[in-house]
Amino acid sequence: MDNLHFLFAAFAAMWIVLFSYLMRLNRRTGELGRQLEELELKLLEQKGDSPDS
Amino acid sequence: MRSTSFSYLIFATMLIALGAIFLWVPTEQEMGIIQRIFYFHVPSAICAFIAFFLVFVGSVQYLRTREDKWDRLALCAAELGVVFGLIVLISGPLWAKPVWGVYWRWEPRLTSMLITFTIYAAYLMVRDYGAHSTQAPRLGAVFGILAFVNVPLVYYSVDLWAADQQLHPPRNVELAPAMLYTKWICYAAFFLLLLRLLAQRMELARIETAVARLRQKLSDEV
Amino acid sequence: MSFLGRALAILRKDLQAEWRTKERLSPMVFFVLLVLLVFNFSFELGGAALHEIGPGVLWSAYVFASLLGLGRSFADERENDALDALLLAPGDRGAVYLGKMLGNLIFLLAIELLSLPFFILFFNLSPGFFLVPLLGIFLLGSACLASVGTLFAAMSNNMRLRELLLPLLLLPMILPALISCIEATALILANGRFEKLLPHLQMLGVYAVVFTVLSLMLFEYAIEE
Repeated sequence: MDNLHFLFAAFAAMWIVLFSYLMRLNRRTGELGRQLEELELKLLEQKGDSPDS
Repeated sequence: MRSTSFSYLIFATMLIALGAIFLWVPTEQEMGIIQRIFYFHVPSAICAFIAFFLVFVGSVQYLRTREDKWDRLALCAAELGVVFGLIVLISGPLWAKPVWGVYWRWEPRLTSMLITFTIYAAYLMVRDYGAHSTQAPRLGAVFGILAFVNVPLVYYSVDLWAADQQLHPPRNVELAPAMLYTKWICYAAFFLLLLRLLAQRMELARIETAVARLRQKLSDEV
Repeated sequence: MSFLGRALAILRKDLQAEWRTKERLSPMVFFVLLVLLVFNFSFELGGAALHEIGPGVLWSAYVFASLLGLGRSFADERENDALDALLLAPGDRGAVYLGKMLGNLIFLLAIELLSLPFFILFFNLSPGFFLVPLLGIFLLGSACLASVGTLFAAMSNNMRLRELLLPLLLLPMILPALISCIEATALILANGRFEKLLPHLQMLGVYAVVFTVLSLMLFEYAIEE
């Protein structure tokens, strides 16, 4: 049935769009989480170096 | 954890919705099986508009309070509106081909959705091109307010333009009970999905702000 | 100085500057002519489809010209850092917007009127009574264009890729007004009935009022440094 193919295509498209977006979110969250940790470490190191704080 | 149980809830609702769409609800007489697209085409459209409204709220509140969280809401909601809008614009033509014979027709509803989509895509570009400046949130807020005010005008004017092309299925169709229940289940499933995606995107935005702030702090201290 | 007074002062300044050099006006009119030329080869304007696509061609040409013209409305201030001076002066920022918007409105109207003869010529229209209501549409349409166009020009003034961004912002936003302008023009040229024209006029009126007021209120946020 041709109609079934279109129905499938529409559902597939929806899943692809939603999944790609979700995966992109997850990936960026992971990357940024790592960057955040790195930067926090660096900030601690800097604080340790300078005698004032 | 609240977040995990919420995710399970969404998963369950979606599964039920899928079951309802494919296994339970009867096939519509006129259009046949392709009508089932309607069960996620319409909820996606509604979610897109809820998202666009949230962009408006975030924009107004940001200009009033200048609190970052409102700006984050506007940005995240705009992204989600564009995502759901994309689903509407892809599923629409895929429904149209079997039913009308063509993928696209410049009929009111689809055309208005396309225009609205481009408006919010432009919003995302405004945010993008001011990404590392302090102006992006403010300019985005201005555009976000104008964009939402324009939406009803877009719909009205396109309706006016294509008054002879009312091909889109009318809004208030009488639905059989099974179809009605399926429709409501799908509304619920998509709405929950919107909330979840919004929460996750906002968390990401919060981390982005934190990273940018830390970078700034580090370069200041040097 | 009153709000309106300030707005009119800015308007007068811009009009005087433009009148002295006419540096924006002639290129814009020439641009409209060129766009009509391009459209001629795209659509074979001489054919029977002329009356169907004529209004669309006309307004497309005006919109494209306005993209160039609006982008310049804050350019002079930017080049001379005069914008800061303008903003430092006491009084409502909204007055700056109003002055600029009226200036753009007059400017757009001038372009439309000056290029109308090309349109009449190429489309073999016989000048007649239709010119009067057409002027009304020009006025309303230009008001719509100027209302958001001035605000977006101010916004894109501060952003990267400002020449690129202005069209991307403006085009989707003015579509409702553009649609009504085109339809109204088509109706007027076809001697349509007034009842069919009225909804479009209402649309244009609502659009112009709503977006002028909104832009007025939001201008200070757009222009902050």
